Amino acid sequence: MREAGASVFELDPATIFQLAAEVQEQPSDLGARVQLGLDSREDAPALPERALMPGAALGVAFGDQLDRAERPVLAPRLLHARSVKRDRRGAIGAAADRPAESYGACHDAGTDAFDLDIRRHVYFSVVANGRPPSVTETAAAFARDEEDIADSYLRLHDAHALVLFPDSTRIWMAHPFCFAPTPHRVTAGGRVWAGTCAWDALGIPSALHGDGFVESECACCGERLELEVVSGELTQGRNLHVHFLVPARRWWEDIGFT
Amino acid sequence: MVFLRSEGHLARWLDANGWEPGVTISAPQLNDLARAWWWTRLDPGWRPRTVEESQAVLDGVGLTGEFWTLR
Repeated sequence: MREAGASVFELDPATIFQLAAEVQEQPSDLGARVQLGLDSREDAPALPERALMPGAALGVAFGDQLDRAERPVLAPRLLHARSVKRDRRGAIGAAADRPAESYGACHDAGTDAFDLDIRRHVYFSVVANGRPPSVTETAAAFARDEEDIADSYLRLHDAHALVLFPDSTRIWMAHPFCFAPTPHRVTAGGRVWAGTCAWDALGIPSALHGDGFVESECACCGERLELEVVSGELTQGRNLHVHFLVPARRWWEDIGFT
Repeated sequence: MVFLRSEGHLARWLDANGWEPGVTISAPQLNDLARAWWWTRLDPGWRPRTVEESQAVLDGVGLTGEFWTLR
């Protein structure tokens, strides 16, 4: 087990998986399980139903393993939906006053410490649970009002640090992880994930610092494609082509399409 | 960003959708990009990259030129 007093955020993802598997099973109070097309491999680590890591600096919740859901299905409507919530532009640094049309609209922003804590909680919850926390769950973890957390989610969305579903405070993407069905199914870190796009699919093993297996499809004919990353190298699928339709400076105009 | 089996499939896909071509790279190059771009995403001290830092990542894997210019 980790040393007393150590922050969970000082741990690498593999250690978090190990710790999550060790904590004692507790009753779930995180609400209904999500069914977003993510599933678990047979050899995925057996995570507890719900547990709070004792002493976790920011109350990261472990558990709620997604179990045996269906394989992701194509959902171009979701993938191409406009995600920017135009009427709730946030106030991270000077970003809120800049147009959303350029790539750099929010990337030079000075994201504040609270929002970075929230974002960190989201990402480590994703790694631990296979899904992002709701506003309600994050509010409970931080002992803050839900409105404070919702505002933070919206600021992080505006800063391109998270992507929310349209007109919602539910998390759609915590790049490279996606929480809606996509054609890109990624097995890495003992779970099966959805990658938003080809880039994100290969980004998931990278973010988890491990190997990964990607099941995708040819955008033209729909034929199943397989790629594998081992020790950082692409060992399967090396002959495939990857096409970027949208120039870099326009990536965030409609991130769902990009 | 999508995977395609071949240049022929790419051409048919663009034609079928009426899209102008963007830029095609190889899967290994995408993996290099993914590795460089996402490696730090779960770091405890992660902060948003500046545009210049992001541009440097693209440059570092050989993605240069107008198409890859972030602003």
